[in-house]
Amino acid sequence: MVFGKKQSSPGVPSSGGSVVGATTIEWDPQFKQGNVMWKVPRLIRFGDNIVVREDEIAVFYRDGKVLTYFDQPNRYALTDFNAPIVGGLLKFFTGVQQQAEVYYLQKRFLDGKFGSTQPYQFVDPVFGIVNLRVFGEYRYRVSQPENFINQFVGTFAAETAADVEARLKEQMVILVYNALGKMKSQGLKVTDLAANLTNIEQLVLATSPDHFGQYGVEINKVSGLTISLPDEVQKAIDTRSEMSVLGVNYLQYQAGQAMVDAAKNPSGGAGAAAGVGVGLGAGVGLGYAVGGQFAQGFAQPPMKACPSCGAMIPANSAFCPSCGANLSTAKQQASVVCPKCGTAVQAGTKFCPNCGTQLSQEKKCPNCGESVSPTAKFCPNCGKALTQ
Amino acid sequence: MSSDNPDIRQQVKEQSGSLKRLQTLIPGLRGYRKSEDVRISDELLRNQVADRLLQAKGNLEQLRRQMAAAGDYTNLTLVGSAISQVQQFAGELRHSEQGYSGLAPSISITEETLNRLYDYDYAFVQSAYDLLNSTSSFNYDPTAPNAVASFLNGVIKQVQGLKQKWELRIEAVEGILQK
Ligand SMILES: [Zn+2]
Ligand SMILES: [Zn+2]
Ligand SMILES: [Zn+2]
Repeated sequence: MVFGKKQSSPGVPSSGGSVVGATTIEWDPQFKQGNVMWKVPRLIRFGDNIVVREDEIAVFYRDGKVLTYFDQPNRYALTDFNAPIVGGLLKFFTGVQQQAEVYYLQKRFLDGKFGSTQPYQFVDPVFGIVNLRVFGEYRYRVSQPENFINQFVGTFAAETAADVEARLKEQMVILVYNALGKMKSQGLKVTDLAANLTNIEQLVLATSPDHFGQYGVEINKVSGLTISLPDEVQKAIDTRSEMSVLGVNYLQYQAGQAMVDAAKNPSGGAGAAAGVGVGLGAGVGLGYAVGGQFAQGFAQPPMKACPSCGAMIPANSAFCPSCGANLSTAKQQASVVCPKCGTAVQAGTKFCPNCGTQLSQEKKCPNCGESVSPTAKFCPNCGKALTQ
Repeated sequence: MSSDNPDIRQQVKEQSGSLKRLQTLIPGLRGYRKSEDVRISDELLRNQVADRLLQAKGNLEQLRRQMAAAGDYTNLTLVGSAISQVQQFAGELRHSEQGYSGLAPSISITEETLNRLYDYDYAFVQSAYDLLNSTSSFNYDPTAPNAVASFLNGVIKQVQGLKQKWELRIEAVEGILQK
């Protein structure tokens, strides 16, 4: 299981705990880690002791509603009629042999992951209907124990932490879809998705109180949002952005690809010189047909080896047509954008002068050479997926 | 100002006391005289400022919702950054190690060093209130994204200023305790 969640071992009822046959009820820490809720596997009775720790809430539930809850750490003895805190609960127990269910909740923020099971159909002006899948992580906590139990146990009949999480995940996916829908109506295109992931995260956070408040849940953070596109759409987007990086049209691009392939796989030659020859030959041949600046560049020596991938390329190239490495020194001194506040900062600066975010562990997109945030899943410039 | 004509205003101000000024912001602040008071005062001050920061955070979250509702996504990540910085500092204040009594069981503080500390604290707490006020008084206008951006950048600067004042104060407190 993710996040080191402890599951109950066989033989322990529900999800664990040391309560059977005992008068002291407590949430065994060994079954607690990563679990937001635990249902005590037997009904609570008059005379029981309830142990509530610092980071826990004990909620008493019966007949479809919450009776009361204890959120201060203590050992609560349900025998003392004078105790002001348990008084409300004891009133319920007196006289008849009434019983109630007890649920323990965690107060702390917990991490969860979400992902879509059904694809989201995004209608793009260029690509038509595109099936998107979204994944991400979120941090949440119980903000209102009463709403939480009434909703999850009362309305959704959720009995375990896993049930609760399944529903939270579903809601997270819906929020991401809502955000996508909103941004789409503002003109967002499939090609813009990669550049807007943090925006979408913020939009989800902005709308989360309206959706999660009713469940007594607070979403504190959404991170690592990934939106995956169908392969053919991703490929088309990559091609398009490579074309715009290289400043060529589609025909030129295709010609360049053919040359690159030829240069990379010298058939029958030996060494780098042969590679240049084949590359040049292919370039000249195709260059006549295309006649663009791209082909001309290839037809004209001098050539040099790309410092990144070793392919032979025109000496004055700003970008390597083979691996996309950024070769212009001017560009390398240009500014980078702070991943946190968006301020343009001179490249090489260690900390953002605006917000203080550490910028030293910046990385470059291997496809287009653009500086990207260290946490980015996709290059905001060319849309290429980045392996971490 | 000649020496035989001292500045009366200065004296009056000193007599009114740095602590009193500070207590207008944080009622009940005891004032670091004994080691136990250091701990209690420190906790009171931290929590008070952390509460103000969380209120400011609430205002910023409200702004984020307004922006989302208006379909204005230009500054969403910036407001997110401001929110997380406010939240992070509030958490630091509330949860970092509390009190200094363990470090220095017997503290002797002169009136002068105490006043200096109260001045640091006053500046620190006052800027927390300033931050809260600026987030409370900002009126969101979806047609003016530049105004939102400069407001948010201002908030981020305020948080940084607050952090700086906090560090100064810690230095001042530690300086006192080492003597
Ligand atoms: Zn290369
Ligand atoms: Zn920054
Ligand atoms: Zn890229």
